[in-house]
Amino acid sequence: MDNERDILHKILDGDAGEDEKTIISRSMETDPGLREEFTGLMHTVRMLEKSERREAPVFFTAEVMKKLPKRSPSVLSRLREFMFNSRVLRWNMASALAMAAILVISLVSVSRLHRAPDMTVASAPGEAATVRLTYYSPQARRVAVAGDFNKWKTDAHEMKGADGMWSIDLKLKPGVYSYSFVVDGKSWVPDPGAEAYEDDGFGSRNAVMRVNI
Amino acid sequence: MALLLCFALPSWTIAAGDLASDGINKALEASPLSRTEQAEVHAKAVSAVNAGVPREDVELILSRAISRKADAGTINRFLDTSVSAKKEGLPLSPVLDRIEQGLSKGVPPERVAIASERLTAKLAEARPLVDALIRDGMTPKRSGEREMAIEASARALEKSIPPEEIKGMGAAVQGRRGSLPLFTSSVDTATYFAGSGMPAATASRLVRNAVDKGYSTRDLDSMVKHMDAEMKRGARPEDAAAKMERGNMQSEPAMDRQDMRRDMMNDRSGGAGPGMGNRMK
Repeated sequence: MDNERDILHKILDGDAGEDEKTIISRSMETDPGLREEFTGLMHTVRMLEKSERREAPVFFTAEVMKKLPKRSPSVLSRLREFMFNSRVLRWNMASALAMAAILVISLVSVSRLHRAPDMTVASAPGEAATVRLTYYSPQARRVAVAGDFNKWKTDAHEMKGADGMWSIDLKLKPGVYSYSFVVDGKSWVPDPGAEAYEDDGFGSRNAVMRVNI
Repeated sequence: MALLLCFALPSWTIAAGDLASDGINKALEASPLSRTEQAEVHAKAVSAVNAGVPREDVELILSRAISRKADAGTINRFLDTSVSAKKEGLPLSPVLDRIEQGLSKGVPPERVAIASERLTAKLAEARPLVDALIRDGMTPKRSGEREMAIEASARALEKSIPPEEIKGMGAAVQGRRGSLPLFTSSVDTATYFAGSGMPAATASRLVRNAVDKGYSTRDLDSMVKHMDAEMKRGARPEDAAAKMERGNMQSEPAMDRQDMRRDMMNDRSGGAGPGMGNRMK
């Protein structure tokens, strides 16, 4: 019976072959129920053919898809979608200018980090502050700093050198200090970048630095 | 108990003396001094430690003097000068610093001895000048300020800046209700100018005028740098001074006017001196 119903629908769709039509004709002669069903279906099809066809609304498909139960995609497909799907960026002039300003400030701040820092790093009053001293001398093999903070020892504070730039970080309590660079253990050179200088009492001069004063 | 103390005390003293002697002995061991000279120096060194000169400094002075081939007489002069400064209640650090610095820099020991003796004498001369300022209201606010002011004045006297000029700078700072550190900075600046070849009177006048205009310590440092730059360009000290008097004195100092007014308000309220208010937090 199911086979005959399938053939009925094929006949209505116009897909049935001649053999199939012969089978249905013979079946309808002996089965009034089948004949009645076929007649009803024929009427329905003719009624539909005569009725007005309307175009589906634009969002019809989208609305239908929305109502369909969602399948949850795999993690991999979600990741692929996140990484490679095209996106639309919305912007306005005000936000563009703000971003540009942030970028400029960031670049300036980063460039300042790489410059020679100020001589002292602020710390709590009375505590030792870190002071960075630098000296450029590409010919020097060894540079040290000697001053009143280390009793003018020429081997107590050796500076580190790289590409001719020598530097050292000193921890000093707040105060005023006299100092000089000692190049290769014999030449005393007052720091060219010092804040101030003083006579050393022997006809030469020392650099002077003030720490957290 | 009393008997116990009587026996214990000498041994403690001997132990302390031994501790002092240990480092001193080591310093003298490598010296070419004769036995007699070594004994003499040793005795002087121990008495210096006992008088209150730090042991570390005594050992350092001995070892450096010996490495610079100083004779016993000169070494004794170093020790005598240190003891003298200590006993007179003068700032000891600048004297020890002068000796240690000179020996480290390879200055002939005889010259170091003369320089340290001269400094000690000038410290004695400078002390009443500074104490007079303190009595007149320029009270030190932190420890060491008085000693630094005395040292700065002593250095100025060494550079032949007369006591009257130092008093004049003190008066200028007092006139602005400035602080002892500002006085020290003023005197140091004048000393530096005088040391660069500027006549002492010109140096102190330049600094006095700067202080009258409200210059801070930082501004005075800028004057030193400016002077340095002029000298490097080949200017004579007098010409550099004249230029500074014409140029800087006619315009506002390096710091901006708002900082100056703020610092002056601090001065009048009895706080830190000009330019110091913001930094002494």
